[in-house]
Amino acid sequence: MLDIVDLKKDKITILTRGLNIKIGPFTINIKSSEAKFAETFCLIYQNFTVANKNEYIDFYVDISRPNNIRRFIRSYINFNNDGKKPFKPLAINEAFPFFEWGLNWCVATHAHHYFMLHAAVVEKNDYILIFPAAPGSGKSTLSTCLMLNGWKLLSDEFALLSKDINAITPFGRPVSLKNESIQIIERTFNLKMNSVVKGTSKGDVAHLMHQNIIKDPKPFILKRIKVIFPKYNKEAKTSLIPLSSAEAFIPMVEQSFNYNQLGIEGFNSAKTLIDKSQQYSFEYSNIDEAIQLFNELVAN
Amino acid sequence: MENTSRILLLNIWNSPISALDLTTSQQNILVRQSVSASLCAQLWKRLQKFEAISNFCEKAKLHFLSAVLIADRQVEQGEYEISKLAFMASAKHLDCTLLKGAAYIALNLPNASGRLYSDIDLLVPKKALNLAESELMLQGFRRTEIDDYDEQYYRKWMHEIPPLRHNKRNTVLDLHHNILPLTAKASPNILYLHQDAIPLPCGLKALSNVDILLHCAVHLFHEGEFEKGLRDLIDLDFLFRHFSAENNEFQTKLFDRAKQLGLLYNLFLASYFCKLVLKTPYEADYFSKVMLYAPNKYKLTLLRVSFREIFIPHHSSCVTIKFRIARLSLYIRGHLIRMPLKLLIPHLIRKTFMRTKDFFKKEESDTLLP
Repeated sequence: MLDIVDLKKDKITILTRGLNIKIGPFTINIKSSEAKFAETFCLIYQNFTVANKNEYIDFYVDISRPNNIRRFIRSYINFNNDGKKPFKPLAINEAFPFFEWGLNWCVATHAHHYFMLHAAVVEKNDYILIFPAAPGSGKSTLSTCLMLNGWKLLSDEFALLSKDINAITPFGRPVSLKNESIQIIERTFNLKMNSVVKGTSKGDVAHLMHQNIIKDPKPFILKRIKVIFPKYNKEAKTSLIPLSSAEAFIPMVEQSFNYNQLGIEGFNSAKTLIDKSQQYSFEYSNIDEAIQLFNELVAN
Repeated sequence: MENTSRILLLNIWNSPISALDLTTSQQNILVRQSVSASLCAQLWKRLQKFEAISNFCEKAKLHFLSAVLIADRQVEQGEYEISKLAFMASAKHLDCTLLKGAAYIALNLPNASGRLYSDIDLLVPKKALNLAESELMLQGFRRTEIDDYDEQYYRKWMHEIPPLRHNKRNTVLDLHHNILPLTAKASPNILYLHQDAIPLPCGLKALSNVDILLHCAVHLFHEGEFEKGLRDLIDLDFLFRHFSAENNEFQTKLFDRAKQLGLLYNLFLASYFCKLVLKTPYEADYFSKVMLYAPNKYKLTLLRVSFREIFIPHHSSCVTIKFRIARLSLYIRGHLIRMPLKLLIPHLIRKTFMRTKDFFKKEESDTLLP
């Protein structure tokens, strides 16, 4: 099994031809003739496995400039999913975040064998914590903090749950941090992020890869589950408040990518998840207190 | 392998049982081609029917089943929209006829299952257009954003008003008063179609069987873009086979109706290409009558070469230079048959100008996932 970092050939040549890589349970064919993108991609994804030749490819992704006169006027980049372009082009410097967002789209619109939540998922002591939340609520900040404190991170964006809620499949990819959370993480953990892209449609974006991000797609059996709705708020005191099933149900399915598509199956999955878990709302501003609280929550 | 992969989807469609012999990488290409041709769910249902799915790898199955899930949900949504429209139509005594996808669903035709559709098409008499539009607005259907020129163009020349979108459910509805643009030469007298429309149990109407097929044919062969061309041709094939099996006079009636509506050339194109690409069986008598309306042999060769190229998945595994030439020439053909040159040229100049202007504008990005 080869990782990207083991490949002998020049990275740019490899990506120009197309590279099959395993990301979580999916195999992706990624292609790009953008040198800068190839470099960033191969650096951040260096420890991901290159897929065998005859493996089934789930998604074909091509990050390249539009093939028309516009490329001479202003530099744009397209996200191309096997010939379809679901998004308008973005500026060249946004290529890497564009890939990440585009891959999210591919999974969210195709992987209907899972009950999918837009959520970060972390694990410690056999406890699975699911943080479903709208963008900007601080779920990535929270899960990154826990990850940097020894928790396993199964995913920063996707809870890929089996429909019977017996298992969850890790989909580890670089954590995406935005705006203030970049400084918060840099300050708290005294590290420097080098892939910051400024001024995207979502503000400043940085991606962080770490050894505690689970790359092996082997599912975790769900035994002890907590569904927690995080909210970062500058003035907030650290507070974890239990929710009733009824209070948690709607906010949870609002964060599902395919609750509607799954129909009755989606309702049953959501109901089972609520039945099998405890639910809380969580407000925080102090990172140390948050980490301590979660460590105590899962202490055996 | 590259050579055969080009017509892989067509081969498997025409002979589903051969799917049992596909390698994993061929299965991979088959899924990609069928997604690209909007046929993924329909293909899987067909393979199931022919008991040809046992050899597919887990991953290919998951992709097919995801597509089936989405398609089934769309049919459910379609049924819901139809029931809402039926309620509105009966309350306001509106004469509403379902067209295309919505009609296939309402009539439970064999091509409805697994078929994707992007909008609901509704036909009303021209004099009821304003009433229907305002009633739809009360139901939550809103005008989509469209510039003044396009709005004008629709209202003046087209057979439908600009698309309406539901403010909560996002369903797109096309409200028609004819089946072809008023500028098209073949535009039939719509009164005939209204006269023969059949009432559905829900209170709405559908076109008669022969008219459903003719509408499908006219629609397909007046297109300029054929991304869904193969899917539409498959619709035609399903309709031919289904209606002919139901009624052994169907093909005779079809011919007579096309003659009455002045659509024999379109019927020729539909019959000819269904047979060529999908091996649709006809009564010998019917086909020889239709063939009388074929163009001269040079034009026929040109049409055959172009359309054969275009009725494949528009996917990177199928695209060749020949395909690109066919696509361009059929694009031009599509424009020419929809409006006379004296309208077309100013229209295209205007469109080019607007597009050039857009080149220099900074693009706003679409909504993206986090």
